[in-house]
Amino acid sequence: MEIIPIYPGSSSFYPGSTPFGFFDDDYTFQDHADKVTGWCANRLGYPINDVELLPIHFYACFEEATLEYSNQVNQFSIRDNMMLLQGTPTGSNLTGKPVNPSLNRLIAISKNYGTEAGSGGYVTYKSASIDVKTGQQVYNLENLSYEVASDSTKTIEIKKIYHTTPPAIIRYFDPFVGTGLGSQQLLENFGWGNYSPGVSFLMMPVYADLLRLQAIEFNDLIRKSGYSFELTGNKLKILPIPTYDYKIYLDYITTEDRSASTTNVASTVGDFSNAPYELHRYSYINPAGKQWIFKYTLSLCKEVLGNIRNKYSSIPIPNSEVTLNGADLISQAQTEKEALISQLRENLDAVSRQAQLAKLTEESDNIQSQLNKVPMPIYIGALVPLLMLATAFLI
Amino acid sequence: MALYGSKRDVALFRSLNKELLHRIIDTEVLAYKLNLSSTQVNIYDESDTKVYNEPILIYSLITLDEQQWTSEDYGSDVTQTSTFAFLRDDLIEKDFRPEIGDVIEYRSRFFEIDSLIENQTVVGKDPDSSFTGPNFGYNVSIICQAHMTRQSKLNIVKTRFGNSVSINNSTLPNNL
Repeated sequence: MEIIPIYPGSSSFYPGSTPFGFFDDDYTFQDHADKVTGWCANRLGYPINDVELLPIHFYACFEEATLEYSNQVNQFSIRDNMMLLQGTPTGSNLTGKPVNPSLNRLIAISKNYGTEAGSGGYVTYKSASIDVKTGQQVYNLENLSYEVASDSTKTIEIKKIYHTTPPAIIRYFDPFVGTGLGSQQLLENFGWGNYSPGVSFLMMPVYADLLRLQAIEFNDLIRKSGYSFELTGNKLKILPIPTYDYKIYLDYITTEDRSASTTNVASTVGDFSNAPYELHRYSYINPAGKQWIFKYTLSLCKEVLGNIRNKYSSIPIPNSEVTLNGADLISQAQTEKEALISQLRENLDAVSRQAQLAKLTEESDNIQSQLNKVPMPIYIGALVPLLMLATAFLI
Repeated sequence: MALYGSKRDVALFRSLNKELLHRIIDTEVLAYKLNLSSTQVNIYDESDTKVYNEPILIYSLITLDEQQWTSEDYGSDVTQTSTFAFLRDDLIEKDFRPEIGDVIEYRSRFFEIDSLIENQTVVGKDPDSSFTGPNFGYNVSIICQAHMTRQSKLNIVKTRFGNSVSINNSTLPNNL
């Protein structure tokens, strides 16, 4: 006659008794496994009532509760630190360790803006040119001469077209030297080009140069056709109508390069799944965490017991049948589990980086508010002699 | 092969039944087996002096019906019927198979078994006779319908007896 082996009143844990064995080598876990088993059995009514669970059920629940705790804490840490973790190596285990704030990720994100603005970033700007012919305004960009020949078959995005008015500085005629551009060229040859215009800086204030340059630019703007272009599809139309042959240079990127810049570097944190958080070591979990685990273990045990007792809606007994409390146990377990998870998440959220900063701010504000109410001391050491002096004069 | 009612499930039922009957309800009766070989019968296979084996203490779920009182010419009389439901596993352990004519003692009253019902199974299967084999089903109980009988008829307890003054260290016969 087979009798179901119900909880015998004691248990003896040995490594390998849990389904996964994540914590089996932890001596504190081994010690607590049997204690938790006894505690849960007592909470379920043993020895007054039989508990239709075996020690392996208790162990499995204990392991699951510890896993759940570790999982919740790690999820919180990953959520709180993901911005700092992305792009960092996956090799090191960050469980239980502080993550120092840095701007790495922010800068990495900013570099994408830099790419578009032409001030850095991940995508290299390349150069191309087009031969401009006298009198021809419209050019097909398919005929570009590329810096990298293979780019001719790729989709490109033009970032800059070098087609502007020549700088006023090179059209500056120094009246005091009287040689026009010749003096500029001469100075360039001596390596003094940066001191342009000419040698007159010794005699003229800087604002005189600025006024002249401004006058040249105004002249170009008002009296001449402006240098500009229109880019429509593959067509480039340049203004004014070219009066001589020259080259127009332009900067471009390939869309392929831009896409390539978004791919992650190997062995670095990319998302939730490879953030380097391992399971917590049970013995390092503090008493508050262990208490949570005990309670969650009990809830899981109730759930298992409820499922066992609820497999059949009624149990036959001689000349009758009884209904067990399986449904009640399952309901209790679900409620308790939800409450425990909520409590843990609230506690974790309360210590998030953002929450801590807000708390510190509030604390410092409150301290300042308190200090403001402290009476300011009045220094009367010097006041008394002055009063005495004034009194003496009055007399 | 059935999905429900396997040996493992039955083991749970058995465990729950034993907990309920032995530890929670905990009502026991004495069951007396009629010893046919020792009972003297007349030519009609009738006997006024039935002999019973030593009683066996066994757990039972008892349903006592109301006592019925009647007044006859020779005085008042009481009758009572009762149902004794036994866990079949208990009976097997005690090696007691109730039969019609056996006597059950409960609260100093004696009930003679009139009929037996052995029809309570789990998932409709009795492992002893199921065509699907012995691994499924559970024969839960044996239910005995019984009526209260007179103690003087049973020869189990001494009634109306006394000591003889003339005969030293001897008692008068039972059931005079």
